[in-house]
Amino acid sequence: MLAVRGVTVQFGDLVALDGVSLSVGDDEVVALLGPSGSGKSTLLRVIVGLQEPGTGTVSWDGTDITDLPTHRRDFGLVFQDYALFPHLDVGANVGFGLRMQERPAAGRRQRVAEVLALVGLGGFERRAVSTLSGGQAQRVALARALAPSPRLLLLDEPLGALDRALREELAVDLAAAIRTAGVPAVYVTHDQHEAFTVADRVAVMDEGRIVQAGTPADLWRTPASPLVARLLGLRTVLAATVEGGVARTALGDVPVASRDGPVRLVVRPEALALDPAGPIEAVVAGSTYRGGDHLVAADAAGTRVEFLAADPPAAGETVHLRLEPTGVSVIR
Amino acid sequence: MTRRTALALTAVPAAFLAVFFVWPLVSILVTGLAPGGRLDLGPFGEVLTDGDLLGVAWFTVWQAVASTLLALLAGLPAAWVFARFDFPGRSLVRALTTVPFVMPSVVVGAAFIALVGERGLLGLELTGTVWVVLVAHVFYNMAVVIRTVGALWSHLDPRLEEAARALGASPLRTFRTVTLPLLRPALMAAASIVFLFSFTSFGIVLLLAGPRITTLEVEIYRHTAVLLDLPVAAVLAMLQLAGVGLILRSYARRQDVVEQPLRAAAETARRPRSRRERLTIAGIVAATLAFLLGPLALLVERSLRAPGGGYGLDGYRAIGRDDGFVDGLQAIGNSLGFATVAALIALAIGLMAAYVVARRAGPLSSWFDTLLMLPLGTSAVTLGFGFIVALDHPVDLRTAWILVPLAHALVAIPFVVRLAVPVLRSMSGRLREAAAVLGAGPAMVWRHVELPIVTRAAAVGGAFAFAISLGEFGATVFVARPGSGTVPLAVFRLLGRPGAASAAEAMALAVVLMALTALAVLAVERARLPGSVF
Repeated sequence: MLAVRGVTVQFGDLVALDGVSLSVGDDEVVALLGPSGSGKSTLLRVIVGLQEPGTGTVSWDGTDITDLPTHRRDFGLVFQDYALFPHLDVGANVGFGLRMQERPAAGRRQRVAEVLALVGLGGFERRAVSTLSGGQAQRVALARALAPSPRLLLLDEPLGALDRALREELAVDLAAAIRTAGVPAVYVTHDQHEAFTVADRVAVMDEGRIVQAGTPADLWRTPASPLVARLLGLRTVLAATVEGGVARTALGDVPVASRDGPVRLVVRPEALALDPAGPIEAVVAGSTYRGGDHLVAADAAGTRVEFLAADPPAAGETVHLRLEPTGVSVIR
Repeated sequence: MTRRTALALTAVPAAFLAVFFVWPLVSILVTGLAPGGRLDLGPFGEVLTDGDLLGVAWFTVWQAVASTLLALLAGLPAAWVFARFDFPGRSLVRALTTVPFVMPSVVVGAAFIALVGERGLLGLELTGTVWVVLVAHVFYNMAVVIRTVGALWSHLDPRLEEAARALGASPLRTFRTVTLPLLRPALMAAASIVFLFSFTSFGIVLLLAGPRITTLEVEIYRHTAVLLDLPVAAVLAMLQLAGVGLILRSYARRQDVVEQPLRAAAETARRPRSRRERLTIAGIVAATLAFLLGPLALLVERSLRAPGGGYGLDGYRAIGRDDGFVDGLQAIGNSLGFATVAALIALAIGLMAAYVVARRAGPLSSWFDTLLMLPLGTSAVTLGFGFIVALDHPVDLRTAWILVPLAHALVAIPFVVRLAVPVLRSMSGRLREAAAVLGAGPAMVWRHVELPIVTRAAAVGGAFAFAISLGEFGATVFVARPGSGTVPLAVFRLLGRPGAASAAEAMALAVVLMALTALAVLAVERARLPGSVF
C-alpha cells in the first residue's frame, strides 16, 4: 500500500503541494482530479521520486521510500508526452524495463508480446516509434510501464495529448488494461469523465491541497465545495437558508439534512423535472443533445438551471418545473 | 554535469577556435591595417580609390542579390508541391533535389562546363558570362529554398488558405495575402542563406566566370596567389567579413519571429484531386529534377567520352597515370586521408561544443554558440588566407599537411554542432526520467539511452564533416602544397589546362568526387533513420 504523509513542495514562492496526504490500496485505482496548476502532477512526481518533497514522507507497505532513488522504486510511469525512446523500436521500448531487470532475452520477448497484446498492439514490436499515431504511442507508453510488472502504476494525463473522441474510447480501454494487469494505480487528469471512467476513488486537488476524496458516486452526490461541483460539471449552486431541516431557496423549499443557518446547495440536473403543474417557472435558453436525452439550460428566478428532457422545449419557451429533493445536496 | 566538466568542455573548443579562427582573423586585420608593423591606412585607401576593386565589390553584391531572387523563384513551386501534395515517390524526389547542394563546387563547375562551356552540350557558350554564375548559384541553392520554405509550408494549416478563399479571395490573392506573409520567416531565412552562399561563392566564379568577371573572394585569391599583394588582399577580406557580418546579423534578428499554430506535416499534404493538379505537379517535379540532375548526369556522360571521339574510359585511366602535372591517385588518397582526419577533429571539437550548447551548461553558453557559428559565415577563402598569414610562428605550420584537414575541420565544425545539438536535445530530461522509472540507474541511463543517441549524432556529424572535407576548395587552394593536393584542386588544375585529354580526366575525377561525396551523404541519411539497437 502506498502512503503519502504531509508532503509539501515549494518552488520559490509558489507552494505546489501544501501538506498532502494520500493512500492507495493494493488493488485500487485513484484519480487525482484538478485544474492545471493544482499540484496533481507534482504529487505524482513526488510519489515516483522525480521530485524531492520539502517535508513529508512517501512509504510503501510501511517502509519509508522518500529517499529511495526513482530507479529502485519499482513503479511504472506513463508520461503525458509519452517520452518514448526515439532510438529504439516499439519492442525495445516496451522491453527496456525488463532489460534493466536483466531478464533473459526469451522471457523478455514473451513478456513484450504479452503486454503489447494487452494494449491491443500485438505484432507491433519492430515498428519505429516515429511511425506511431498519438493513440498508438500512448498505448506503447502504457505497455512499457506495465511490462516490468510494477508494484504501482502512475499515469500523468496519459490521454491529455489526444482529441476528445479518442480520449473517451481510450479511457475505457485504459481502465480495462489496468484492471487486467491487476496493478494499483494513480491517475492524474483534469477531466472528470476520465476520472470517473478509470478510478475507484477520486481525490480532487486545488491549490496544492486535496479538497475532497471519495468514490465517484460520493463526489457526485455531495460535492464538498463549489469548486468540486464545477469540476464535476455541476453548474447550479444556490444560496439558501435552513430552518428546521428545510432549506428555503429561490426555487422553493427543499428538505435537507443540515443544521440551521445559511448554506449553499448544489442542484444536479436530475433534481429538476418538467411538470405542467410544477411551481417553478423557467425560460428555456437552449439545449444540448447527449444521445438519449437532452440537457436543457433555462433561467428560473434569476438562476441558470439545468434539467434533462427526452423531448426538449424550444429556446425562449416558458416551462414549469418541479424540484426533486433527492437531486439536491448541501455543500458544507 | 558539474561546473568543472562544463568548463573543460567549453575550454577545448574555445581554445581551438582561438588559435585556428580568431588568431588568423586578427592577423588579417594586422596585415591590412599595419602591414609594416605600424598603422598604415595606405592599403585601405588603395582599395577604396580603386574603381576596379569597387566595381568588384558592387558586382559581388548584386550577383548575390540576383542569385537569391532567382533561387527563391525557382524553388517555390517545388517547395509548394512537396509541402502540399502527397504522391508516390515524394520523399525520394525530395531527397534527389538536395543532391546539388551537397556537391563540391568543382563538381558543379565541371558539370556546367560540360553543359554550357566551349563544346558544351547546349552549343551555347555561357562560360565567361555572368549568366552561368547566376544559373549555377540557383542550381546550387535551390535545395535551400525547397527545404527551408517547404518545411514551414508543410506545417502551415491549409484551412487558413481555405478560410481566405471562402471569404472571397482569389487563389493569387490568397497566396499574396495569406500564404506569403505566413511563409515570411522561412523565406527570409532561405534568402539570407542563399545570399550568404552566393556572396562568398568562390569555386563557381573562379571556374566559370572567366578572367574578366570576379568577386571579392576571387580577388582575395588573386591578390594573394598571383599579385602577392597581401595588404590589399587583407583589406578585401575585411570588406568581405563586414558584408557577411551584416547578413548574419539580419539573419539572427529574423530568428525570433512569429509564433503560429503549426500542424503536423502529415495532416497538411493531400493526394492531388484533379487531372489538372496531377499535370501541374508532374510538370513542376519534372522541370525541377531535369534542372537539378541534368547537369550532373551530363557530367557522367562527358567523363565517358574518349578524346578521339566515341566513348571510352580514357579519362578514368588517366587518373591512374602520374603525368607530372596531376597525380590523380595521389589526390584521391590525400582527399580520403584528409577527410578522415578532418572528420575526427571536427567531431572531437564539435561534439564537446554541442554537448555544452545542448545542455545550456557552462558559462556564457549562448555567446559560445554564436562563436561556434562564426566560421560558417566566414568565407573559406578568408579562412585559408588567414591561415597562411597567421600560422608562421611560433611554429611554422604553413607548409605542414595538417593545415589542410585543420582548415576543413574549421569549416565543418559549425555543421557538426548544428546537426548534433538537436539530437542531443532529443535526449530530453523526460527520456532520462522515463529510463529511471523503468529501473535504470545513472550508469544504465548513460549506456542505454544517452550513449546510443550520442553515437548517432557522432555518425551523422562525422559523415557530414567527411563530405565537406572531400569537396572543400576555397581554403584548400591556399593551404595545400605540392604533394598535399586534393581531388578538387586536381579537377581545378585539369579544367584550366587546354586539351581534350585533360578535360576527360577532369570530368572523370569530378565524377569520382561526386560518387565519394554521395556515399558520405548517404551514410548521413542512413544514420538518421530511426532503427533498433537491439
